[in-house]
Amino acid sequence: MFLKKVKGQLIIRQFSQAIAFSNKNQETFKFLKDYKLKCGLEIHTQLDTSKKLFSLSPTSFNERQNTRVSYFDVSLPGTQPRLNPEALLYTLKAAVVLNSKINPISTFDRKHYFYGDQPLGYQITQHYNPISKGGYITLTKEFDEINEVQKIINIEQIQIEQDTGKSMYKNQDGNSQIDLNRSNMPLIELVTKPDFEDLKQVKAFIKKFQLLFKILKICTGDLETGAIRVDVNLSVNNGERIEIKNLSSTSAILNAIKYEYNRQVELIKQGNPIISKETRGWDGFQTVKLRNKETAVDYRYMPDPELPPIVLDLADLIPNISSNIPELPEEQLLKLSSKPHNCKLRDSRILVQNQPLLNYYLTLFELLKEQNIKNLDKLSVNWCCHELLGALTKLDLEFDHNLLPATKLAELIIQVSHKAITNNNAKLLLLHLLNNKEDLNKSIPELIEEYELGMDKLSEQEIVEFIDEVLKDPKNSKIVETIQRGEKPKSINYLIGQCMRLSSGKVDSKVFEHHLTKRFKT
Amino acid sequence: MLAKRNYSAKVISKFQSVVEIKDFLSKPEWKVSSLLDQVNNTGTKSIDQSQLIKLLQLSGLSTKISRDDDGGNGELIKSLNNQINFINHLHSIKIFESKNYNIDSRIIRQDLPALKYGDIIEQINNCAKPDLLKGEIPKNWDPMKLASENEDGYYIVKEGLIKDEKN
Repeated sequence: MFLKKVKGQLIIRQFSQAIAFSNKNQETFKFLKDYKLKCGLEIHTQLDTSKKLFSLSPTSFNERQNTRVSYFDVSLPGTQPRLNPEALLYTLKAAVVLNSKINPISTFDRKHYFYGDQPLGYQITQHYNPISKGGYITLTKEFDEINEVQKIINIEQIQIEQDTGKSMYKNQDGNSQIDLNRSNMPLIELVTKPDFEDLKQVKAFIKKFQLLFKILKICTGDLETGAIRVDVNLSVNNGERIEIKNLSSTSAILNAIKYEYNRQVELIKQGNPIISKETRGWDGFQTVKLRNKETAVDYRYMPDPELPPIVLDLADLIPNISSNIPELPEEQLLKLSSKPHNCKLRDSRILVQNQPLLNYYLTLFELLKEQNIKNLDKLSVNWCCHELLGALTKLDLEFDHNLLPATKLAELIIQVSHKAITNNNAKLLLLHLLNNKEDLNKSIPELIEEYELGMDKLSEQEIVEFIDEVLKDPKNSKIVETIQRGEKPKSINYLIGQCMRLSSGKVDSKVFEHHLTKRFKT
Repeated sequence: MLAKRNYSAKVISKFQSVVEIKDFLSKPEWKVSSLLDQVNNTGTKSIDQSQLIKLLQLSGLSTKISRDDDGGNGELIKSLNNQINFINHLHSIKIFESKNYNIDSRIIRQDLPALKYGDIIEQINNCAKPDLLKGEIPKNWDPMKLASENEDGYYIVKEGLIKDEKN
């Protein structure tokens, strides 16, 4: 008991020190001129195939443990692997998009290491002849928000490999629970060259990589869902590299790089630079040593005798795959920023980063185009990227095209455009529709009538009465005086808002703006 | 059933009777045991205690084996050295060396036709069907039935996996 207590105290102390370091790290971090960072990434991406890599049992997401396993997945003696062609096709798509040179002949190898969630005792991977070598992703200041005009991140190689099962540790009895549903799921491992020089590049690369795979529809999710897992290789001033394993979020990657950079700089300053390779982990606050050169695992790679080589007719494959690749992010951004969409770069980025939202926007645009709506470009993007997303944020909902079909939003925008409802009341109706699915069956004009949201056609006299009431209200006297003195002209918006409130939003704000401006000029 | 003969070689003259065959087989020219017995006479490096521990770690086995079960007599080390000796004998046999060892070391067919785009699509659509005989259809077999112990549908690995070994 005593030992446990001491250990506990020790852990708490180390933990609080780590937090302190981490906070300091976050606030004060910067790369130092005399300490050059060299950084590369190893990315493991789960492929969104319907079946596993070397068996045809269904892939599993959130299924009950050990219910999606074939005899091969649990390594029953006598079972043999057979490559799933779907995984091969997805990998080839990735290689083409990442400009990687596909090998006409690639082979599988066994990487041996013992672990409870890997019953074969080895992982089938591609060590000697990977599916493709080389390749790159181009980052630009314009689209990826990096400091340089352009930065090319080169790719070492891409390989196909199988995932392991999952282990759940239980401390009280020393047992570990094993779920083999994930065992033999298809992965591709991509290794970059150590081309990253700062955090913006790392962040932009990961974002772009995830987006590319989303557009290609070949990955099951992203970092946060565990479908993409990243290892970081890092050195400072050309010292030996440190590998940080299994980082599962973008912030974990960036924080681990910051921490490890600072640690290595400190070691160099103390005259103890890193001289031998080491594998470290990230505990959320600091990097922790896992293995060094002496305790490094010897994987004893050997060609897998049970799998034939993948022999490819590249002259036939590459043109066919290329012609089936959808529009890539840069092309989509260019399309959105040009006519007839004319979207601002910021809005274009929001759409491209969220492909279902982009499809929704394009449908909405076409629906409004058919109606010859004025200001089609501004209205479409504004209602999609600002009003709709804003309303979803207020309601704490994720975008889903079923929440409000594009046809319904188009109907609402058409009514705004025809001045049947004011902008403000249309926003209220939008929130109402997101909250009340049953009203989606009714037409927008019906809803406007039912909830008395229609725009009133008031007489000149009635409008003047509203304005008089607002201007004479003692609460508004200071603002009125300020505007009359010619100071803060934008304060007029406050008075417009008061007029709108008084008229229950049934009068177009532009009508009040027109009358108020005229009044102050006289 | 017809068997196709792919290779032929002249080693000795043709046997004339069953007696001749029996006579031939009763006089082996070498024994497997002779390859195992000659410990470390090939001049190659042998296994020592530290290498044994490393091998046990790589295999996920407890390093206690080298102390408790071995009784300090070096039985495991002796056995491993015998195996190395045997492998050295095999290596010493001169064989035709291929330029591409990776591919030739595989035991299955290598001369496959190069896959075209249409072949992969065809395979996905027509060939890649789950097989009941391989346990690929869910709910048709219960993996837990083969495990002597399980917890709520999970396999169990005792001793906290490799973590305990490291500590």
